[in-house]
Amino acid sequence: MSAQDPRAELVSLLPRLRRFAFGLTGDAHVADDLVQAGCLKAIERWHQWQPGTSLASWMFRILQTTWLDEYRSRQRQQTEADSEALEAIAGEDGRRVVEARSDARVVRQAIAELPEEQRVVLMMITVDGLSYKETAEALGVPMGTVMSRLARARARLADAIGGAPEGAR
Amino acid sequence: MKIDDSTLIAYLDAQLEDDTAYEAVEDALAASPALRARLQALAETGELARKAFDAKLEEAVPPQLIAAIMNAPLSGAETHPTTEHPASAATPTADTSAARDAAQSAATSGAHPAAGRPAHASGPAAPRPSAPGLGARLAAWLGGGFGGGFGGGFGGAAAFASVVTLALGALIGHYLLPPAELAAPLARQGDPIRNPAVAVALQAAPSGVAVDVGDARLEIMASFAGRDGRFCREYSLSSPQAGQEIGIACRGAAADTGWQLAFVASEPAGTAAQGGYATASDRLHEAVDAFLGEHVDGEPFDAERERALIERGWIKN
Repeated sequence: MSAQDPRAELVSLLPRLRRFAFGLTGDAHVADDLVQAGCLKAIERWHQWQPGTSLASWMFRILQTTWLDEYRSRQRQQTEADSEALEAIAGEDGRRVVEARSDARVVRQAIAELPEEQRVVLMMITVDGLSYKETAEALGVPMGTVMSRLARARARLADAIGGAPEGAR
Repeated sequence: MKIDDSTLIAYLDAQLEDDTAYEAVEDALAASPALRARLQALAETGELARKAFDAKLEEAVPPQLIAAIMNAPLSGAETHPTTEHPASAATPTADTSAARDAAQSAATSGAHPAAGRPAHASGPAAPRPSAPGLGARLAAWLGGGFGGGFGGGFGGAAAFASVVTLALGALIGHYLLPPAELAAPLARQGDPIRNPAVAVALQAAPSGVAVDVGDARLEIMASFAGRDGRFCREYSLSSPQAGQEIGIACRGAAADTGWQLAFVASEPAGTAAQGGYATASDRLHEAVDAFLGEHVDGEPFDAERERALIERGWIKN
């Protein structure tokens, strides 16, 4: 006679949620704030979750919308300044020269520079391992959109961290 | 046929639609060194992206974050028992967008701490678990298979949190309990609890909360004070394939002790109710009750007492 406690379900997902939020926000403290806010929001609207569907992808969606709605506006100025500066750098030298391409920080930086919609699908599919279908359903976009965002994200990433140049295709 | 990045990535992600699509990609790869190079580059960066976040998956989840979630009220959101139809769990008012927006706004504004760290949604800050030594003990239980993620950071509260939360997520969430181990897992009474999912649940899970562990279900049933001064917790582990196990684990109140098996009884699947999760038979319950009658004092702890003990890491101050 044991009811599933949503709180326990969420706690068991915390490592994955923190990883996703870290990739989304690029900041460990902000990520944990976001995860907490997202989990409390999920508990509030637990009735909206459909048992049998992926709780992780539902949570990723909540984290993403919470990030958009609540957090990013607080950081907008800083983020915009950062991305402008980064674009300026990238513009000077189409490919970023990276000395230690396997350095996790370098890779995370390259991911942080992706447009957000690309970053989200990269985190959900490539890093977390969700299927295209789960990702499309969670984000409420067609699967073709997921695939093209993912392709652009991975092409940019490959260029940024030293994969074969695009011209090789 | 033109093979673009999307197709190559879907090939790497095993997300192509059918065998024909895989054959088309493989034919094209066989014919084109440039395409093979591109595939290689995409595969490498995918691997680098995963590795870049590996550490995050394994690092300590802040205890305050766990506490904030476990202490959140379940007010509007009804817990649906697993059998309940999802639609019936929604209250009429919760479906109006105004109510939903209000709830969201309350949740997010209430949840956002002023400082950069997660905090309680309400009430005083949780006592920080402090269990120097326990982390090392748990690490020993977990054995070498999980060694990569631990990195020698044991000793103290952070280590405790690291082990518990790593295990909660990475083990309870993802670690599949081999069904074969379930029926005869825990050897002799007096042994330390070796099953990591059980060890973590004993340390951190409130009673009455079921967690799915692969195809098994683990639930801590109750917590007691043992006559010998130790804390004891009764757990149940069941799966449709492997059957049912009820155990009682006890630990001393010192920081450097772990949970030890005080009693265990199990029965294979098929001896109890048919289908779904096996329920323990009367025989199993009688054996447990007999043990409890001899070894524990009085009634199970209430939820408040139990929570206080969990937050202190079962250490008497």
